[in-house]
Amino acid sequence: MAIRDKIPVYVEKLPFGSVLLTKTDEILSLARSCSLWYLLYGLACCAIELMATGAARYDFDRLGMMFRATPRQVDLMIVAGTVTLKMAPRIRRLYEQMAEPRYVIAMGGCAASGGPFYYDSYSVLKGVDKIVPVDVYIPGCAPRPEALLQGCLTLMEKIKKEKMLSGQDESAADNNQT
Amino acid sequence: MHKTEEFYLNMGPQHPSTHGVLKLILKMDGEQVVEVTPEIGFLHRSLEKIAENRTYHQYIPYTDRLDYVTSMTSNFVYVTAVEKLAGIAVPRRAELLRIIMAELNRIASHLLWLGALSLEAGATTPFLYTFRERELILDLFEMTCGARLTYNYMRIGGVSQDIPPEFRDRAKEFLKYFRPCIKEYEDLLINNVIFQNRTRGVGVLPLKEAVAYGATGPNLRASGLRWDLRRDRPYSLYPELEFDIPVRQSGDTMDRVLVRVEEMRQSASIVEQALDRLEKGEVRTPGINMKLRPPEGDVFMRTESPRGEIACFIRSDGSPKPYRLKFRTPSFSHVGLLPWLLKGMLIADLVVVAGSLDIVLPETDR
Amino acid sequence: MKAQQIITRLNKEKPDIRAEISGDSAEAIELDRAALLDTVAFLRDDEETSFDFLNCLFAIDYADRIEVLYILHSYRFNEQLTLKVKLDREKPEVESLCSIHPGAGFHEREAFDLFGVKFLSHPDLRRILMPDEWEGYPMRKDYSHENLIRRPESD
Repeated sequence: MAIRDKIPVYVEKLPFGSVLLTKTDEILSLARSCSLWYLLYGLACCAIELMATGAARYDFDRLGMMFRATPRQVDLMIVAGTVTLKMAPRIRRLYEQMAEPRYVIAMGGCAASGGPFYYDSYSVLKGVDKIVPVDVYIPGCAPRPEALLQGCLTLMEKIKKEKMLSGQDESAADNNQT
Repeated sequence: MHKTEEFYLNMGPQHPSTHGVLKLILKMDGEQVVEVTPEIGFLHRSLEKIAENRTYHQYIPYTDRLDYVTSMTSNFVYVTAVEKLAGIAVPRRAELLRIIMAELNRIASHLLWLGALSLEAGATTPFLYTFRERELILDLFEMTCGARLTYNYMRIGGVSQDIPPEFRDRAKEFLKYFRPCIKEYEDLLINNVIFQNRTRGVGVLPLKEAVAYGATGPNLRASGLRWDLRRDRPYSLYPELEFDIPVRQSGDTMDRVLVRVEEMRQSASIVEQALDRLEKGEVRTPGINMKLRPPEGDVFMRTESPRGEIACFIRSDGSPKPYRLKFRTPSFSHVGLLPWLLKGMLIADLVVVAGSLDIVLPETDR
Repeated sequence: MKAQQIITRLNKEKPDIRAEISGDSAEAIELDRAALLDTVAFLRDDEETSFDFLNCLFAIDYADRIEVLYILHSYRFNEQLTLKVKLDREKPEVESLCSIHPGAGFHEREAFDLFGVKFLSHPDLRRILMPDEWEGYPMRKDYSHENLIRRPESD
């Protein structure tokens, strides 16, 4: 069975069926990682590749990810494109409106560090990690849809390792606070 | 006794229906819009300041990012402007390749526009259909230059590399597959009675206002003026190719949609003709200095992008870097047209009308 | 109609106009600031010139002056014309064309935002591309800011 490969379980077969024992952390993390809803937040060129990844050929929906228009309903914000100084307060405000646990993917060179606009540009913020904490950086200009899918899979791996309920040091809430 | 109050609604920079980061401040009286104030600048990446610090060759990748939906067209206007300024000739094969790429990119851009417009009208399915065809075009581009979105394909004096041998057959196969697809979009979306009711007679742009506010491209042709830079101020090898200019008379949203759909058909025909005319030859004029120093002077090169007239002004002072580079982009004027066009409309119509103008923000903000 | 013919036609109306041919692909007519509004209105309304489309409006910064260029186009005759106005760099002011060509609104706001050119009697002259509270005019040649990192010269 698929779930037996994904998380450590102990299966006990009983006359009326079977009982599956596992840690709540594992189940919760698996469930959360397989159903990430992302904010439709395309700023620049990478937004077109984001739309293409959501379209028919490189389907996002098979990973359980669908786009929502409002930050209240999402747990992932994919910052796709160049962040300017005029746009930065809006990004911060949207990030603060997301409910925890929340994650940020910086897609593309511009979101990671300013990209080709690092030099000689007075209005570009050199990297979105100056205003929000970023979990995964995807390099490229623009990154291919496969690269974006790999970035999302990396994020899913990262989420699966999180321990929300155990109260240990690396809790998701601590990781995502600035 | 009741009283009504007007309120301000912010269609903010993050919104699923604005094409990119456009902010519209709407003064509403219930469902009706009294006044629209657009605010732009959220994607101002100072491309013009960067140009003053790069050599002419180094700047070509930045022109991709100017209008990323049609990178080939933005490349085209810039390299043609530099060639005109410096007096550089381009081999025939390179000119035909440029036209093929620009017209394929026109089809891809219109497909993206149609998909986004259908999303705004509330229909999710055509978006997936148009993107399916767009992926086929992006495959062709990837076969040629390796990139899907920001091609950096054109060079001063030609193009960067020749097409692979299988390009021609794949392109012809694509065009043969594509023609019935346009009929499919018409059956699915454009002839749909709901879409027709939402777009006929809505958002009428009369010709006088269109010219006064500087609307260009399909928006102008839908209002009745037969004007296309490829025909009326021709550049490259367009005079050799035969194509129609679709023009409609009433200037409402449905006319703008129909003009663009017909342009897709015409572009497919142009690509076919250009492919047939390809002959052996070089694709890049040799011997161009990497630190090109054009003579002092100005150039203002105007070309037809899928959105309208995109033009590039370069002032050179004889040094390897331009003294002033200015892009005249169609979406900048179209955003300036919005306060006049959207006044008095219902908010549901506003979204469709603003989408039918085909505004992209990177070229508005530069 | 070439620039010289336009000047001949204009001279019947306005005597104080000099022509300047700049570059071999654009012929520009240089105007005094005071003559601008009348000239543009005349060029739009006159039957033989009919320049009804204001294509582009932008500024260029020099050490001693700021030039504002206006590129007009006539759909009827398929002609293009460039007008040039030279302004004092310390106090660059010129009349707004919004009453004649409404499409100038956004272009003038951009020239104000990036170069500091004031357009008199513009209906809404404020910053358009930079944030509202930004100080300074970024496209000027002597501009510096902590966010403007210059690319090091490599060769």
